[in-house]
Amino acid sequence: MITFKSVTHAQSGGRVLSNNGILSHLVRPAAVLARGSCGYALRLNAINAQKAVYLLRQKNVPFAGTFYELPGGEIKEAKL
Amino acid sequence: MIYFDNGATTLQKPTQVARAMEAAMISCANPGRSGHRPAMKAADVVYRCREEAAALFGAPGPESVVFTQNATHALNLAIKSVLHSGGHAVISGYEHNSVVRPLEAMKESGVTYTVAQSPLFSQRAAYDAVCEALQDDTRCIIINHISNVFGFVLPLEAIDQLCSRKGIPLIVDASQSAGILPVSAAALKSAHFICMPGHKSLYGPQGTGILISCKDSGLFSLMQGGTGSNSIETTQPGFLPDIFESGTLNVPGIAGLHEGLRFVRRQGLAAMAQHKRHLIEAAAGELAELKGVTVYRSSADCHQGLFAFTVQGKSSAEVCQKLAERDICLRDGLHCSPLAHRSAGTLPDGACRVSFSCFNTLSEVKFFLSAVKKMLTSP
Repeated sequence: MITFKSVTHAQSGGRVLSNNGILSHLVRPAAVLARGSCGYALRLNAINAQKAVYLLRQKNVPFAGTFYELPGGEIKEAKL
Repeated sequence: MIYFDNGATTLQKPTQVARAMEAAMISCANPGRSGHRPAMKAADVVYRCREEAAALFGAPGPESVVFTQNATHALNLAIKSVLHSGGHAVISGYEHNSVVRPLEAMKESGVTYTVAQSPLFSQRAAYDAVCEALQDDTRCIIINHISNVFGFVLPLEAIDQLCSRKGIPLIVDASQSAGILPVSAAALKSAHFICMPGHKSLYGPQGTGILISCKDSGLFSLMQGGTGSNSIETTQPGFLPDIFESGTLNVPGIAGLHEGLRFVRRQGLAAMAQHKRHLIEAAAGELAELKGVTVYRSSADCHQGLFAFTVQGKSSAEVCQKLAERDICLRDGLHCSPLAHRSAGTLPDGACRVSFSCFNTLSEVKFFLSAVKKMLTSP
């Protein structure tokens, strides 16, 4: 899950990913919101995470953080 | 009714505009605030409009497209961003009060400005006047791309090059040119902001405007509040578009504007400009031959979208009122641009303005000409 401070940034990120063949879904991540950060996230398959982060950086789309969603619903920060 | 007051706002819109607004009113909630379906739908509608505008105006990206209430709002954001800590501005002799009044109000905070006065329809003189008005502390140049009174196309590209050479930010008022002439943030290297209404030649609803913010630094918000982002912070987010978009957006308006932008893209700027040029030539050409009528017009390279005329012995208000009685809608007076009238020598009475949209026809022009002739011969 890649989080963004603003819905517009998340949408721009989603466009960048879809233009490069990476499927993602725009969501309101409850677990991240609970950490005090209003915002949105793109949920995508973890297998694409490295490439997604690379593309967002390359296209200057600012994102706030990267997280893995564990099977039990727990959120763990991912260093990518 | 014949509506030739499109320079104020286009009245006839593509049918899709109202349909999109109605759909948004019943299906869209608050964008960027929640994760439920109506909120996400609203966010999608807003983002699609940002994308369309970014493509049409060569913006760095969709996030550089800021939605405003109108062009005046956009101009205030632009001017107050560039000059909030003071400095000198150069403005053309054809600026609207939406430029002049913010600058006047900012005099208290150390802002000064020089009007680069120049004669009508001389692009060379307009450029030279801007050059002469520059000072060591000039912080920006503000240029009306097309005069809202006379349709005079100012030498935007040349002034952009001047700004690039001098390192001075350019603010473009594209109120009358957006949807008529190509306006590209990518092509205007020194443009920091491009300001435009949504409700004129972009065929969106009233209450919509766009600010293209070509840079992402040096931004100054007029209004602070909820943005749906960085909510734990008590300070306004510093990034685009959120810095300029506090409070709930006009989603139905933006949905309509999106359809207006799509309409402009489908029709093509060149085709629409050509159509209006054809109407101007037909109307202004015949009016100019009438005794006592002065028409302000020039060649296509420096005159677009609209024209003005005066009638000897009659005020502009009197002429427009007579025509309104025949259900012909023009604009009289000063058009909120006393500077332009001063430059052209049409103060204090102003002029009658005829401004076309792509929905106007040659038969409407003929009816209008016939009404003017009748008015001139009646007591």
